[in-house]
Amino acid sequence: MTASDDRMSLLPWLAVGTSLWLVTLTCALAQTCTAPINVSGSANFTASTCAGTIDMPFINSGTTFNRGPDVVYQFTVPASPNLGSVTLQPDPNIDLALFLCTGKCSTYATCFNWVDNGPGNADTMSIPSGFDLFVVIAHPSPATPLCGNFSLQITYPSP
Amino acid sequence: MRKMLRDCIATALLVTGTVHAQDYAFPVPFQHFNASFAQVTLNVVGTDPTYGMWFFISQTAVVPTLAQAGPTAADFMYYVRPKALTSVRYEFEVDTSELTGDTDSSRSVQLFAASSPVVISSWPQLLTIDMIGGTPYPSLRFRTPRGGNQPIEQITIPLTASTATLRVEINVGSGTAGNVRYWINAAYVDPPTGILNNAGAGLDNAAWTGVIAAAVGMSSMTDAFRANAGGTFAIYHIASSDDLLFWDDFSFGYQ
Repeated sequence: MTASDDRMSLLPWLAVGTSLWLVTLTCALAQTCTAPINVSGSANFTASTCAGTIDMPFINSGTTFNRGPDVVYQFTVPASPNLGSVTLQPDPNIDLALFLCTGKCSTYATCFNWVDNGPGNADTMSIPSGFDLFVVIAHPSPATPLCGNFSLQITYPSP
Repeated sequence: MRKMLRDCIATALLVTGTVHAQDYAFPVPFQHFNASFAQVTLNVVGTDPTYGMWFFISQTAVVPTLAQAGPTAADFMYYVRPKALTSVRYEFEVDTSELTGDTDSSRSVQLFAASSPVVISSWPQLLTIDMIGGTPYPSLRFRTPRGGNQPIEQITIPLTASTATLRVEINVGSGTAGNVRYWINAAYVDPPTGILNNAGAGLDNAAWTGVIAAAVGMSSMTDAFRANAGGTFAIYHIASSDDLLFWDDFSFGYQ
């Protein structure tokens, strides 16, 4: 199912005049540090970190940084020897990083893997099976803009 | 008793600054490499008769700083085979219960490497295993090359305890014959914890020929690890299916 599929399936229940973009924006705004966006199964999302209400500090070599709002997704990867994956595609000129963590809130101390290939470039990593995981979309560099649009693809491992 | 033994060893290293190599010897055909800023000793693990590698990385003893260029601290044992193996297994246990400061993903150290006799795309290792700092426990990162000029395949797995038993199986071949299977706290007879196989297409790693050398220990540490990690960590219960070595735990005999 893709993000477009999600929107299509929601259309019959939306009030007239409600925009599809508002649906995504509302989801992003609904998250809090203790209540990230729940993901069930493989999925595609489009959203913006500008809509995030979380701005967690992250640690790099012992120094704490705090740059721009974050968006956090939560999902449970079923046990399987096969590997799933998560891919972040930021809009051009937007430098967003992808963090994979076992905990939420506070800092990125529990983030055990992260990738940032620079502005506009896709960031992909494999995800281990059998864990409750959090994906954090963040802006770790001081380059502006400090937030932007992105698409996120989460692929669960095949059984 | 276990802690007393470790403290005694750590104190001895701190005072003398030397490895007590006269007490124990690495098993043939393993060779030993040691570089600055790290020290290793071989010792029993508590009441366990199995010998292992203990890495003492005291901040005060070795004075590592970020100003020191390059990951020069290393201590590992390694061996080279006369002929490459297309399928081989390795296993060991890692104990980080007395390691401090390894709490950030920028702090990593290589624990294991299995190498090819040829270098393809500047990547001679068929498998490397790194310990990545984390909270509450470190993670393990597996990296293996893929054929067809594809980027390295890797997976990072957070540990759920301070100790972990790790088993890996490296298979070298064309297409799906090339894969790396790993077990964490599970036996070979169990389903693998994970498989690196290029999403089912296979690693297609025949060009690497096979595993001709392996190293286990501590190497390629990042500056952040060297600057922040302290205490000790251990690797023990080291074993392999390699016919040059022993199937069961290697015995570190008296010299």
